[in-house]
Amino acid sequence: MRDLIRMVVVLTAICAGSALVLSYTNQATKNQREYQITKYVRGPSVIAVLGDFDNDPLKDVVKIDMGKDDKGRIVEKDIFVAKRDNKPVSMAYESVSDKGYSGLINVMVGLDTEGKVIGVAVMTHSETPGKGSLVEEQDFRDQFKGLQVPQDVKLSGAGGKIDAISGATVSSRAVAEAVAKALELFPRVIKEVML
Amino acid sequence: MSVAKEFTKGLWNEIPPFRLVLGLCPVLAVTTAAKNGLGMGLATTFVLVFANLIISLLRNIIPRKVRIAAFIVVIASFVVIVELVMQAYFYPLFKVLGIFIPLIVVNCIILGRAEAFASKNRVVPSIADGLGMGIGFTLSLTFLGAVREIIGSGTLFGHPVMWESFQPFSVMVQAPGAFICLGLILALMNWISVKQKKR
Amino acid sequence: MYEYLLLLIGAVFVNNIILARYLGNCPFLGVSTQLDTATGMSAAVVFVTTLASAVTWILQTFLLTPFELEYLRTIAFILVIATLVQLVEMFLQKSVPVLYKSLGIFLPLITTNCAVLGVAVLSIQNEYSFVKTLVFAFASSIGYGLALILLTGIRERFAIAPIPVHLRGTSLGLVTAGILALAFMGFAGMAH
Repeated sequence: MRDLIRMVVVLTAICAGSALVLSYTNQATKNQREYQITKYVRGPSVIAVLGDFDNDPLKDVVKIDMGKDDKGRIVEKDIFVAKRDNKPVSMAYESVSDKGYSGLINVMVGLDTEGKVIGVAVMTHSETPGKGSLVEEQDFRDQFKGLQVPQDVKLSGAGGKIDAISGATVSSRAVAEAVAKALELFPRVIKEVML
Repeated sequence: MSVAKEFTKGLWNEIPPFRLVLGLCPVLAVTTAAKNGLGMGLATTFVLVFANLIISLLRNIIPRKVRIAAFIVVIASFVVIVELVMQAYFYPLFKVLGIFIPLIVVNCIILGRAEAFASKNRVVPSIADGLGMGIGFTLSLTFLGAVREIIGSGTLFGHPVMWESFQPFSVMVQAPGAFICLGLILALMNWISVKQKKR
Repeated sequence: MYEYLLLLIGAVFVNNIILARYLGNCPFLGVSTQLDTATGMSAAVVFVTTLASAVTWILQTFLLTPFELEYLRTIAFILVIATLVQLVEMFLQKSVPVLYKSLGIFLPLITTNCAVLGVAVLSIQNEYSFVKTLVFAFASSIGYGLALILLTGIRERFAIAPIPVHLRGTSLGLVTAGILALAFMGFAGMAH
């Protein structure tokens, strides 16, 4: 009996010690780990769609409350702010469309402080290689530059200013939709950024 | 004297995984380049040394019947620490090593050293044992990684080392190359030992 | 249905757990000298891997994710697997002595077989559903058995072959496994 008690006590103590150390390490490394994921996963797209800046936009992040997801957890959107002389000059954030040919299309949209698009990068998609995947091409993405009104960010067939890639209309439309969504969100974003 | 002996045995006489054929999975999987082998070796060394330290400290407290469970908790804790720290500070390496970081926990070398050495010896020799075995393991992994990288991609630590018209033998950085290369190195080690004995 | 078939073939042949993913190598070389032991080990691996993946999936989905304890995954999984193996051993010994006789001695070895933990972690990383996790775990361990039994068949023949002294044992085992892996690379075109 004494043996049994000793076993339980020792094991419990070891587990408790381990839990303590681990939760501390988890807390201590949390911000740094999130920063690394941002830097290597989203970083290249963020840098690509922003103009000139002299800060680290990956560290100047404003979080915007996007409401709750279907599991009741709060969803936040990260706004990466580019600054010059400590003043915001442009910002980048992600936008998603589910209207693609297969699965979600994730784009990073860069906007200046007036809400004009200054760059678009396609981050993740699962469109057909060689067809839908052509939305990654610079020529297509550059069409968005300078647009400001969500109504313009549609395919030319639907009264907008974007020419679809031939053979990849669905994917083109999905990217346009994602960019338009980002523009619709802009009024809220700029308020938070300028705070 | 004996501490030095515990340290050096891991470097040649019992160098894992060439002499002590244990913990092969990471050896085969991550040695596609010298840098990855080095990173994996250092991560394993960290876990080995600290697991040996803690287990040696607790060796008189842990009841024999539950010792394996206790060892696993201690080892797994250090593995999680390595996992978190690597993710925070060495993200590209963390991505390359991927699933093999959590799998350090089932690397038989670590549990093997805990059971065979740290649970029966005092703290200082246990640390020496862990450090020696860890460095031996790191050297082996780096060596195997270097061989595979040179033949398979024509580079060493990312720098081109072969002549210009060299065609990389790309199967060496894939699975078959891992097995064949390790097998041949083991044969080479056998050959060297036999020669030493004859002398 | 097609999706599951693809997953099955992918896990057995294309991404064979030993020959392409490098998991579970220690027992792969350790027990691949006799066909009986290899078969027993394979059966034990199939059994434990499938069971462990199911349990760890439940643990991850209903405990670790909701409470944001993902960082404890490694330690939680290995403890669950170790406990599970112990329970299975006790259960078999009491209830199915025949099976215990053939699998029993392999069970303690399985805790440190990284294939079991590896498959459990891979299922979570690939964000498989519960059914997919089961199919993936089962197929992966069948792939394990296939590779193990194939290698054993070859190594049994070494007994009567004239082999250079230095290559005997693990060394030639590894080289043979390499050639087997080369052959398995031919399956790469099957699931794309």
